[in-house]
Amino acid sequence: MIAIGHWLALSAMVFTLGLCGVMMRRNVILVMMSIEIMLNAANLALVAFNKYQLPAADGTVAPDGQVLVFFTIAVAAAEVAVALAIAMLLFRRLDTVSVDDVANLRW
Amino acid sequence: MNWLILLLPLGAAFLITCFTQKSKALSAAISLAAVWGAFGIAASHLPEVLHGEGHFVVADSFRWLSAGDTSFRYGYLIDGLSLIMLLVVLGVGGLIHVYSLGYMHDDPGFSRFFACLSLFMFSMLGIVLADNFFQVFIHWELVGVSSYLLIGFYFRKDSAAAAANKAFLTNRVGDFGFMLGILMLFYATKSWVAPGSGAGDFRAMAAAISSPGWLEQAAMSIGGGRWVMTNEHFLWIAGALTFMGVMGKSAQFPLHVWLPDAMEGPTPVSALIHAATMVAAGVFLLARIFFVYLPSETALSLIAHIGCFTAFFAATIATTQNDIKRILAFSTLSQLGYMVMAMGLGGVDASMFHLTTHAFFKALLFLGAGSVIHAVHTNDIREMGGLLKKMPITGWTFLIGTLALCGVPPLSGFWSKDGILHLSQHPPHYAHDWMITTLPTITAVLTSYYMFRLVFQTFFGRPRDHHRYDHAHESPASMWMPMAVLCVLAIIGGQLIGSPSTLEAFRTVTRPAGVMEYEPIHADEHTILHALLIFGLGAGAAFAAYGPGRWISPGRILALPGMRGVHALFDNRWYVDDFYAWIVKNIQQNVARACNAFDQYVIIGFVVNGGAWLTRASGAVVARWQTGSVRAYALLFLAGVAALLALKL
Repeated sequence: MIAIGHWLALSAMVFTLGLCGVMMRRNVILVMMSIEIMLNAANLALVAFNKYQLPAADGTVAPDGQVLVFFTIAVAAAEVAVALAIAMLLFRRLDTVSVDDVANLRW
Repeated sequence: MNWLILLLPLGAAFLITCFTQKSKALSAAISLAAVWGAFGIAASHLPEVLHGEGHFVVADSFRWLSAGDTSFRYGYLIDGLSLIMLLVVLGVGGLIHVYSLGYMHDDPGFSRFFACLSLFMFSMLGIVLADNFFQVFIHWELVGVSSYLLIGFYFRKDSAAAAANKAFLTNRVGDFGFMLGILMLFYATKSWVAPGSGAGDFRAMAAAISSPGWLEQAAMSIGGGRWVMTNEHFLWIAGALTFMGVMGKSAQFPLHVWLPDAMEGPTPVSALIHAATMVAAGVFLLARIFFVYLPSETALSLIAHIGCFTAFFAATIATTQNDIKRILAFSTLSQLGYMVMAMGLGGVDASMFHLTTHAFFKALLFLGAGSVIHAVHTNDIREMGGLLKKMPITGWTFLIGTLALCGVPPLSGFWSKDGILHLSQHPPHYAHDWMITTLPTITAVLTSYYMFRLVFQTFFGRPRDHHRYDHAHESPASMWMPMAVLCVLAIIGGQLIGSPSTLEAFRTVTRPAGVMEYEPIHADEHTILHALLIFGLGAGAAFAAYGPGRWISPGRILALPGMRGVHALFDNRWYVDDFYAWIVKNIQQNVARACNAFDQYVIIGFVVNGGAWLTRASGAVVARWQTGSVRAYALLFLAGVAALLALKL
């Protein structure tokens, strides 16, 4: 029997993987991919919550979790569009895709 | 129509300042038209006052601003008291305007002078017409400003600028107390005045103070009713504080120091603001707000004693001065002391009567002094002499003014001054002591002495400086005509008001309700002999020392034991100015230094610069975290979320 705990454990593991990717990877593209992984981990948790939610008094189940996931996907798509454009410009201007080389905004 | 009394001088000042500076004739014409126009409007009320039944009052006001449920109004209140003051201020002021035409004729600041005069008239009329305390205070300060402009008219002269500052600052000291007094009165009567009346309204406030039960009510209590101050005590403190304002404007001891220095201004200014108007404002205010003092014998006694002392004190100083205007200035101080003392003794009408006649003859004396200075170009009476032959009109009018000031019957000064002397010899019980009963009479003797010392040295005897004497000449008509008019007033002004029937009318219009009655002056043999005796003693002493015979040389009197010390005391104005200078130098300066050190080291050094230092230092530390490395930010972000979660769990 798969309980909500399993789903959440999986979600946490995927999230941690993504986080590690964000912190360890230097390549901008891979950092972005890692962010996507984190977002998907959150999505997984959301649909899991929706599935295991208790029905209301009239026996219906509200699709709140599913709807939130759609929002997340839409926002993620927009974010990727912007981020890829930034990555393109970075590469054109500085000839690099490594985040460590782009550290001009400092004290 | 009545608003024009205020608006005409203000408009004149505005027009001259903004448009007609270039044209001397136009500026003078505007200023003169304003003052005489206002005089005409004021005089049109005279028949109603003299022949009307009951109390004559015209009043109007508008709301100036409101704060919460308190509204401040600006208005005018013309009753008998303010009408008399209006006529004195505008009449004497108008004559001085005419005189200034001649006196200031060659001055490059001619237009500016008339603008200042008009501004001053506006300020002064506002005090006279005001119907509430706050309006009085505004105009009180305006008078301070415009007198500053007039005293410092020759602003290129250091002494004039310093005198203007001194006058302004001394008045500020008094005005501070005045403002506190007004606020206290406002606070104590606030809940008792009729709803709808403006803040500090005289009539509403008078009604509140005289309403039964007000005096006994607690004004403030501390410690849950353990220490209670009744309105009665509150009132006398407020009254004493309000009197501080009077002390400043009417130059009463110890705030008198500005007036003699204010002689630095042009002579018409001295005549206008130091004889007839500004210094009279304080006395007028006492009459206007007499309801404040009426329930408090302590305050009245204080006023009487301060006035009495000022009268004596200033007269002693006047006996040793050599500057013609300074002698008159100290004489003014002395006469103002009389008026204030009479107020304190409950003689509101006697005081206002003396104010009126004094305005006539003191303005005359100042104008005469101005005429003399105009002719011989010096203020020092030791360099004059024998001028009566050269300047007959000035000389004779000056002599008549002097006789009036000395109270010689039947001139105006006799009627008013003897009323005050009579009052001081039969004072009310709260002020019945040796000071009130003897000093005014001694002062009257001194008055005759110093005035005739001045007259003998200036107009009689042999000329001491032939060069100056040869160049002396009579002044132009614009200067001697106002003097002639004032001279007539100085002669008949007393009978005009002082004759039994008109005196009764004068009494009823000037005396506020509830003021005690005092014996009217009867010009019988006893009073006349008394006045002549006082005059004879003083004038005789002056004749012996300074008359043509010079029977007693002043040097021989000085040689008597102890006289040198007394002379030095008087000559140095009782060392009051030196005492103030000492305070400023040793106390005020040290306090200022301490404040400066506090400002430098604590405020600037610690608070201001310390704050800046703290910001900079913490900024320097925190800025290091801004590494620019995205991965470091991500780590910090994670740490932050983890910390929050840890706290939450």
